[in-house]
Amino acid sequence: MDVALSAEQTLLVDVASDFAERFTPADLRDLPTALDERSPSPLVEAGWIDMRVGDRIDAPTATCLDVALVAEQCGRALATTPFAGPLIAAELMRLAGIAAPDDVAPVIALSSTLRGIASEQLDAVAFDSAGARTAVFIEPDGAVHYAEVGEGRRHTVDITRRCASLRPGSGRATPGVLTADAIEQLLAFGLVLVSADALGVAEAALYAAVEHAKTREQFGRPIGSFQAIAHLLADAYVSVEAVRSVVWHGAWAVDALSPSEALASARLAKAYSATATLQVAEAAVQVFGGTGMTWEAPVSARLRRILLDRAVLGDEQTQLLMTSARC
Amino acid sequence: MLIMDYRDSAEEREFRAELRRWLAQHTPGDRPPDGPDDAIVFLDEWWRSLAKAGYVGLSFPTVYGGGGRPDSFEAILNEEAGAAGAPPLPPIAHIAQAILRAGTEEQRRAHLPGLLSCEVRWCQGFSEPGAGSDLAGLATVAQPSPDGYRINGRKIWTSGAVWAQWCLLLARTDPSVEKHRGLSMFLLPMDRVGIECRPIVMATGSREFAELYLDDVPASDADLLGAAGQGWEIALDLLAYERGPADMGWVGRFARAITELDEAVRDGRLLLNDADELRVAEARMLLHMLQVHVQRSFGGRSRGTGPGPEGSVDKLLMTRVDQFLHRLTLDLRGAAALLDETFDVNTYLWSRAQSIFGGTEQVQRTIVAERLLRLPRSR
Repeated sequence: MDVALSAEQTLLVDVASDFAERFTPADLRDLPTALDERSPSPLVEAGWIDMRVGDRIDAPTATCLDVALVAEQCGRALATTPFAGPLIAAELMRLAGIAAPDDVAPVIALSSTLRGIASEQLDAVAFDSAGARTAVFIEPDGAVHYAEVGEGRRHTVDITRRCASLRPGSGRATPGVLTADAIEQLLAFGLVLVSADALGVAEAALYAAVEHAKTREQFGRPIGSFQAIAHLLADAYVSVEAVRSVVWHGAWAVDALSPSEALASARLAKAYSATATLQVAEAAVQVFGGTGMTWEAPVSARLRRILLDRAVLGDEQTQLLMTSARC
Repeated sequence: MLIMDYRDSAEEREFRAELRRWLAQHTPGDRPPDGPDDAIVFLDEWWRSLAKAGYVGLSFPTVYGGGGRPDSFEAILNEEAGAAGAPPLPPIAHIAQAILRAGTEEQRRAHLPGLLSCEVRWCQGFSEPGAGSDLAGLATVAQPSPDGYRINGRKIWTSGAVWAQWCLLLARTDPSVEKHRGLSMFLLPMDRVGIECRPIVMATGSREFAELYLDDVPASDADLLGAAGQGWEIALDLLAYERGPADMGWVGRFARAITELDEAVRDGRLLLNDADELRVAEARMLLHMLQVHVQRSFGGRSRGTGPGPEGSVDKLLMTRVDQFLHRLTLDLRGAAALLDETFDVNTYLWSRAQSIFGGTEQVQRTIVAERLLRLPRSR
């Protein structure tokens, strides 16, 4: 048992942080319209999209924890470049042994409840789809299908990422088929990635609130010197560190344990992070006072992003029901 | 290159298998008896058998009677003891750490083997009627005298004092300096002249705690742990270990509560409705969180020195788990349990103490705010 990041992973965090910060929105008032104007190439350009694609299916080049560390940095920077959506699709294609249909990274299609990966084109939402042309989903028999991402954007609570409908009648089969084991592995991977994004968003919200509490003065003192504020932030810090612990274990489990064990850990990680990251973001909004409720305040955009992360592939209630199902 | 791994190393795997076999043979079938004195006899016997088998002080050097193993072995012990439904593990790591880290070679050799074999019982004379959360404001004075010190004062909430042979005592040796700088730590035998112990009956019926009355207790320089004036530093270090969920055997206790819950459901003694199922699933989630968090803490600790202020994070998480879990086990038994004299309400009652002892929840939050988040001092 040895649980700590390697020197390479610490370096990866720095590189990912530099990358993600390039996509921190300069002015949140331009969002979400600004998302439409950007091409989706940065992920492909930076090579992040191929992190997991190695020579052999059973030997991915990057660990799931590596990918989760990058996802966390994207969340922390409130990055508008798609990451989780294309990376989950890339993992799907890796597991199915198929290549992307064009030079733009496909994204994952979720069912319209957001609780699972889409199993039919009519009931599907392309997730984290800014600039994407193709979305990928899995029919109930495990067959992998592509569909075109529609032009019109779909309303989403998260102003930093895009969701879209699929173009009717555009679905087409691929040679790829996923086994039940592969689907469990994919779900575990996806749950870990959105939990990692939420972890990054939550810690950024927390540290911004801490800085605010050090400088904002009322009653002649910084508000962080009041225990009512200090203890709220201390609890948020404790939650963030606990989320990090479950995300690391979930990520490790994807590569190290059986698909069903990995999924069990990922569900617990998602259940915990869905609850805790939302509480952290809510606490951060509280500390910012009225400013935190404005459109241009990063903290409100962070709260919105966490709401979407929480729902993607199922919120805490969904996960807990799945883990408690006695078979 | 280091690759993160939660799995057992070969050495850990072997240890776990051996431990599991040992627990299967030696775990007492029943819970500790209700009467406080019977309970301590029961626990003593259990702790000594654990120690004899080499499972106490796993991460302490072998020359002092420890196991010479890495910290991670404590997490394994917690997991396996919990899964086996074993009684609580001996809560002594914090005192042993203090002696190991601050003691002279002579003190280590004199005290650690007795402590780690569970043959000698220790208590910790820290809190006072006027110094709880404000521990550094304590009033017990160790007045320098020609032959060392004379100690006068009163201690409260001293766990295990009634049964202890030795006491780790925090007292003020220099009232002229800033309050944190004037404290010193003493190692005193409980039969030293002038020490009187009066038990306190707790809400659970337990006599685990006591008050200590110190009346002109003589002490010498040889009784000091560390240098005069170093008491606060040693106390903080000790408290950080006391807050460790695995150091003190808590993770094992929570795992045991879940194991018992599972058994009750399997035997049909407990029926769960859908809402209950969800809460049980949440309790499992919290236990998982605590287990993997402890593993990460140990990973960080093996690269640093001690737990430090991060120990407060672990304590706050452990408190959340303890209080959620034991409110749940209380609720699941339903109202009828409240009229049932065989119902053990103590694990619930003790869970309320989790946010008080070892530094209250409020003190832990202040430590996190000031020392980890660097927020301005809040007093």
